[in-house]
Amino acid sequence: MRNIYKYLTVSLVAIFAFSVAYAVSPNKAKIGEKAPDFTLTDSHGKSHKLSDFKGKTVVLEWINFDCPFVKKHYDGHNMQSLQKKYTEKGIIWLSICSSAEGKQGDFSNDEINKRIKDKKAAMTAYLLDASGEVGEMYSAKTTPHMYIINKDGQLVYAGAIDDKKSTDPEDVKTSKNYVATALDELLAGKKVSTSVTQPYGCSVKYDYK
Amino acid sequence: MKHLILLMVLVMSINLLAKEDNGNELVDFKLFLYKHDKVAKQFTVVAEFTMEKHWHTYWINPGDAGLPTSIEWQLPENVELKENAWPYPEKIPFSDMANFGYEGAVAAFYTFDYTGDVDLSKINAEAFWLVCKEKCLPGSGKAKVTLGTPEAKKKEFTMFENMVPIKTDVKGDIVISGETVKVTLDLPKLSNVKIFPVTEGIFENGKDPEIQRDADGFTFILPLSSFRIEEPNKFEILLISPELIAKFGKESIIVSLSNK
Repeated sequence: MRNIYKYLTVSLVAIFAFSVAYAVSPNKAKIGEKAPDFTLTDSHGKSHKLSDFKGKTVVLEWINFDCPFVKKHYDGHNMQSLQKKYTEKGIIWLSICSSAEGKQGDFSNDEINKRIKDKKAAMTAYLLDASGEVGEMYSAKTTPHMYIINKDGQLVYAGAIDDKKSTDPEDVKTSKNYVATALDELLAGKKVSTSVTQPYGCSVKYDYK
Repeated sequence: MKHLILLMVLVMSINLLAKEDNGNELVDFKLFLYKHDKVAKQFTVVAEFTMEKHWHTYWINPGDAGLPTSIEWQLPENVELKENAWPYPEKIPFSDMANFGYEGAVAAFYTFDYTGDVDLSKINAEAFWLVCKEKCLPGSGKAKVTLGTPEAKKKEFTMFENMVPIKTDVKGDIVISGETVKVTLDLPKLSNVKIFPVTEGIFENGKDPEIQRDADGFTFILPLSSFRIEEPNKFEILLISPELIAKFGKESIIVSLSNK
């Protein structure tokens, strides 16, 4: 009899574990829903788990330092200014690189940290996703491609950084920045007014043939 | 002699490397007067783009990444741009996504109206493109109109002109259900067909539409992007099929659809 209880307990635990794993792993990010969790290592070797930032607003920025659209926002100091402004307000800013090994944007940690320092970038962490798993989870198409997760862990913005689809840093001055608008709305306790826009940029350099 | 060959190889490699880092060098931009109707006071200029081998530029809907090529014209006061027409693109897949663009070369057709007399030698333009192989580079180039199309180019330009889709008033019904939209067109069934969205930001570009062979009329299902910027209540699609030539005189057409 005791054996049956033991068997039942083991089975229930197994079923529970399976359903949890199943509920989490095949998750694809969707607007208005819980942002799928992930764990990635940063350019200093430190591990970060999205769910560890629960209670905080999180920005995800898909990055490839050599892409001309990313250069547009870093050479004119636009991205760094946003990173600095909003991390000072308690927002977490995660830059994620999904470039596969050997593809454009894939650098050694030393090279990444040097570039971050030279560019005075102020992201919370630069995360490495060479397998492209997290990129695929969020359907990241371009660099940059921006996402915002609210304090409750819901995905509330996905899309472009701004409304001027170009590689010209001069355009930043006259563009409407969707990310800043959404973050200001969240900081003011409001709902994000524009939750999806069409991202623009280079394709994410996933491992494909 | 050996040293000279080595030096030549070195210079050639440096040249090639420099080219690969300069978006202006990877695309050759030229303008040719293609047609001139002096009675209707209308002329068409071909904007020809020749890309370095394996590099591509983008269609008006670039797909999931990239940027369409644009042209800024410098025109005399009595000349006005009437319309521009780009040939249909090819699908360039990456990961489970796709871009729409041109590899090798493309020619676009810009038609102008004018009043009085026109001095065509005063027309010039600057084109801006994003050119990609695996990496992408922005580039630009300036050109003046060559007053005539060289014989050697005529065949190529006719081919591209035949690839310009025509806008049709083909009617159709759309039914949105979940993450797909079912389209039924008032057209005979097409067996050999490519379907691309003209409207950006709504569809899953990497997935091919599913053609429903046993449905009434020409019916297919378009997958919607989970991050669509709006619901597909109004959009345009491009159809490419040799079977369209009999009815429309061209192998590619654009159909505008809306949710009634």
